[in-house]
Amino acid sequence: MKCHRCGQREASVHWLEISGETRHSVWLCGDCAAAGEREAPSASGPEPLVSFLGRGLASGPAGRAACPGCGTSLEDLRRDNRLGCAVCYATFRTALLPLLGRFHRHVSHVGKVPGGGRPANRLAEISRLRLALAKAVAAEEFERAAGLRDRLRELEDGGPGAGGEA
Amino acid sequence: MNGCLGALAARDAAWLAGDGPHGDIVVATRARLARNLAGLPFPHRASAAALATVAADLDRHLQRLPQFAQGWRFELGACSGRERPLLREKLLTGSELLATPQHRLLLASADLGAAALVNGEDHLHLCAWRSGLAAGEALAAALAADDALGDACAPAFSEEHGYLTASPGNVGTGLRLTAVLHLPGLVMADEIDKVLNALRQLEFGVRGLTGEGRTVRGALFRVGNLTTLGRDENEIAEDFAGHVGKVIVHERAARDLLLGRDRRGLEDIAWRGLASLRSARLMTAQEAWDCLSHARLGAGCGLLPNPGWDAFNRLLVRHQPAHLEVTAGRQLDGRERSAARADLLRAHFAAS
Repeated sequence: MKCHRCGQREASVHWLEISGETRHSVWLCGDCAAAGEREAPSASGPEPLVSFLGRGLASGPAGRAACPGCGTSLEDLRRDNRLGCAVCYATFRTALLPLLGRFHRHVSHVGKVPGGGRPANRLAEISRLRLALAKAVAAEEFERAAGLRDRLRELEDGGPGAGGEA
Repeated sequence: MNGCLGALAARDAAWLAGDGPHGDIVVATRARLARNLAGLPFPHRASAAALATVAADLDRHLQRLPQFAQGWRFELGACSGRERPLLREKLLTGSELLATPQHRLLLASADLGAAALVNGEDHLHLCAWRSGLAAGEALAAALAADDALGDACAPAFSEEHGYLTASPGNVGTGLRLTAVLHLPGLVMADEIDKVLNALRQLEFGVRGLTGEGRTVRGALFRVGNLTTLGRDENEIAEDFAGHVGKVIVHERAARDLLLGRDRRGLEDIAWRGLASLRSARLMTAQEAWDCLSHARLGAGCGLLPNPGWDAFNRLLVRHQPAHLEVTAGRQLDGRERSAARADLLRAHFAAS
């Protein structure tokens, strides 16, 4: 196969560049590949998720309050795509929740807690049970699904505290 | 503790051994847990004094863990600009630690299978690698390190959102699982877009191995979960292993398709790659990525003698510029790097 760039020499290098949804693929000879390597972009594009905060907050209200923990404002969040400290999560909770829901499909933590235990809070348990219920229904495990549904109803009605395995 | 970058350049990570599940296609799996200390601003908002406090605190606690006590320790601010990229080529850090090195620390186990990065995007990233597709094992190792640190480092945590991180994309478990995959069959069969787009639909991130630019080299891809909130660590690991497993099935099918369609053409590409690795006197990085990829594909399809997946894996890391320069002990110009690279590869493949 001849080099796609010079059309003269035998191609020995496959160059593949992926940008968003598009892919650019060429076969090059050693010389053209070396020239291309020097021209190749070295800077990183944004990670797919890093910019979601800035995009999501772009249409929100103008920044007023600053985080009492670190002084970060909504403007800073839009610019940096990062929160400044743990307190930011509480300060900007109203703006963050829909974004977290859109990105992660969930807003509550399920999983490890400091000290190695299971989550004890009600919201997290509800979130975990909803997932388990969806899986049980998909797997046609209806008996298990019924148990999970009953446990969910209890919790959603403000029944006994979370923590037990359904 | 060892802080010599020359010694690090000569050390191959244990997880490059190629002996893990699906080691012909999956180079390695990494689990990373993001953690921050309660009551302190995240690194990008922290003062130099706060960063120094965090670094000293975590350094002391991490050095008590057996895996780090006898391992490697680097203060990035003390490394030269030529040396720091070595840590990225080893896949131990991303670019963030390299760009602003003050008060950034990297501790790694002697076999480079575990690492702790201090003051990168978050106060602490705990990482564990395993050879091949081994999400559960890598996760278990990272969680064990997190448990061992325990309450000594009170983490920033809320019951609602879990472990709190600078990027809201990491919040919750803080778990990112990443596999390095060699997918030349899908690239050559022109099926790669379908597979990558499907992975993106499933909320996986896909990048080239080096992870910095958009260019994919040597058909090596890094695939990682993007969502970290709302599912526990084991669910994330199961989901990850299941979907990466499907990519492996597609890659094997693509290789079979290529063999059935044009065996001679595939043999030609593979043998040309091996011939260059055996004989070239000058080799650019891009050519090396491709020759290694083509020879690895040939070995995987049974078309070439297989020097072992460990040889391919080690050379993927060692042929990169910082490794060549640190090994040579001086800065090399482009032609000198090409010569050093060709010598390195020839030494490994001439006898195969």
